[in-house]
Amino acid sequence: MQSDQDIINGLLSDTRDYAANIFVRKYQRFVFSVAQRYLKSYEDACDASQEVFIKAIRNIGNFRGECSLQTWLYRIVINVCHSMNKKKKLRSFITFNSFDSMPEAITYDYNPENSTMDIEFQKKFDNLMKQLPEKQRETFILRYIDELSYEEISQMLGTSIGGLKANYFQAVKKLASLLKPDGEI
Amino acid sequence: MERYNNMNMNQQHLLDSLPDYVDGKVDEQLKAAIDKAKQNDTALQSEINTIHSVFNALDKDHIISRQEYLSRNISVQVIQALEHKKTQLFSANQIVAFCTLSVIICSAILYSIYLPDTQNISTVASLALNDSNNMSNNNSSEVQDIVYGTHDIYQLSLFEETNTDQQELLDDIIVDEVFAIYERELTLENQSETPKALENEIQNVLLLEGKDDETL
Repeated sequence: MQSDQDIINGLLSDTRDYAANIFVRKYQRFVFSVAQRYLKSYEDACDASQEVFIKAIRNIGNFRGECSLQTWLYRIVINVCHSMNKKKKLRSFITFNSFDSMPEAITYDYNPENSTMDIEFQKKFDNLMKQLPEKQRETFILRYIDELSYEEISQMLGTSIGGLKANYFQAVKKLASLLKPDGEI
Repeated sequence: MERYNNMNMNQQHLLDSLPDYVDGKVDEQLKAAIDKAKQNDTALQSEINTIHSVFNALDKDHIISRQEYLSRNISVQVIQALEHKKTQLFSANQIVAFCTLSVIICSAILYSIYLPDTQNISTVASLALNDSNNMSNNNSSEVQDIVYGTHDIYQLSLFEETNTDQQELLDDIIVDEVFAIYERELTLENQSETPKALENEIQNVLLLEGKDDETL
């Protein structure tokens, strides 16, 4: 895996296509998971992820390096998701559909390749995450799943490191109370 | 080490560090301190066990592999989108700029086509206004000049074949003006009969209006 600096240099040089491929492959899971948490739809998350990478690749020259590339991407994802949600609201207003009637649960691609067990696990996990407050959920996922440092999460969420540690502990405690007595989700 | 062994150390800080401790993300110093503290603290040991059970239930690798599976096509989609944008002749911004420019040019052309007709009307109308002003000054020589000027414009606009509405408007203005002049001429005390040129003018206009000599 190439370093972020190599990717940035590649995107700014003649090897842009190769660097773009590496860049997207490195962060596609992260970007997609953030987008899916915000948009609660598989298709929308795919569209948002695509837009995020295109924006990032086009504007890589504006990246000043004051934060990590992942933090920068996180901000772009949030902006893109926010913009998509606004468009959805406007569209639902024009078509007289209630925005609240949009699915609360994340939609999944029911591809035959997907094992039922995977989908069931994903559903249960998403259901658990839905029951956490937003800050705790984001902190838990960014720390536990994405294994980011507290400094990075602090830059992403705008919360102090002490506050993030407290959020993380509270999130785990809440999840423990939501799990079945036998420890199953 | 002394900091963590101290009984006055921040208990909340220790608790907040437990998830990282269970996940193996604390430094050696903090790890040793928690290891030592949990030996004599059953509540702390219980907390650690609870966190273990949560992490065991929420298998990180399982979640990550699932996310990787769902996001597997994004790189292909992004590369295709980038390629597509490269092969596009015009970008969206260029198309918008082109359309805006086209609308402006078309508007300018249409404006330039229809503007001369409206100018003719306004010229005739202003001449008619001048006529009436001049007539009030009883200046007969100027009156005739202006009448001929008006007539020229009237004829010109006929040759230009302006549309019907405009033509009717022009006719009305001319007829009204000529009648006004005719009436005023008759009331002039220093002239016993209508000037010949003015009489011809009236006849021409009325003939063009489709009226015969009897009407006159």
